[in-house]
Amino acid sequence: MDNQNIASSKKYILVFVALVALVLISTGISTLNLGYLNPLLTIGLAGVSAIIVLTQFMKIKLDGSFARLLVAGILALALLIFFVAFVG
Amino acid sequence: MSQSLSMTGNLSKPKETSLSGVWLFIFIELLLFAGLFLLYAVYRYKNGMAFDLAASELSVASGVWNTIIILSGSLVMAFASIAIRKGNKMAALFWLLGVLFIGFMFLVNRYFEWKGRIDFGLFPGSEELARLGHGDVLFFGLYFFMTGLHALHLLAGFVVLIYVTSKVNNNSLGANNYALLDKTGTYWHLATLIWVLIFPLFYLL
Repeated sequence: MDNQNIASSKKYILVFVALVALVLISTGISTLNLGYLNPLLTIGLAGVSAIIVLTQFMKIKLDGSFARLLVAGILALALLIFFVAFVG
Repeated sequence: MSQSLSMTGNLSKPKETSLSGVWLFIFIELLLFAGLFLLYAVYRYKNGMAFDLAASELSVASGVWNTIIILSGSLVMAFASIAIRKGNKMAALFWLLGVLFIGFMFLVNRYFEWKGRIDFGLFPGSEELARLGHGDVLFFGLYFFMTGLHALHLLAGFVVLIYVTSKVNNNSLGANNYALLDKTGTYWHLATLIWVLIFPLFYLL
């Protein structure tokens, strides 16, 4: 592989490791009794994971209005789920 | 057509038309699942205790395992994308077959997880689930519908991936025209994106 491809492969491996780490952290947090922080952190970390998948694997660039709409939609959805399901 | 999957928001550029179509499809898919996520949130608000108890019936280890499987599928799909850009046909085929294998592993894990719930009578329409109460019926109804819909998306991706793999194999796709592989990859990553949002709702909350 040329240097650019090697760099890309390394980047993807790092992204994968980061996503797995986020999953394990979320799972660990779910075993703790942190009150409202539990769903807030779990949904927040899921939102971060989703944005990482969008920007790194799907290569959406955050400099476009459509991309910003997608990311804002995911964040708004995460907040809505938290407030509707857990705060009421 | 641009080989980059960037989306700058300028839909009038002809070179981005094809990819804009993919992103429009993805946007509609995300809207569909967003509706289901909100439905989950409303039902959970109304049946908080029942959802907590019903969620404890699911195997967190199985959910984590499936999440790692589908993330590795996206990683391998990215490797296939790199290989085709370099014009390395054998490597691209190797990684594409790897994605197919990983997707199959995900579906096998999903099958055993569903089988476990069904063996316990925890499926929509069962007497056992009806006895547990309205909240459990809603939880498992949503669980089977959302994970089933996700599995259907994966199956659709599976079919397209087999087609793309055959195109790479007969040299119809290569270093100079890899847009179809990129679009398929984007769809595959969409399945990963949806799963990382589904996983915490049913297994961790």
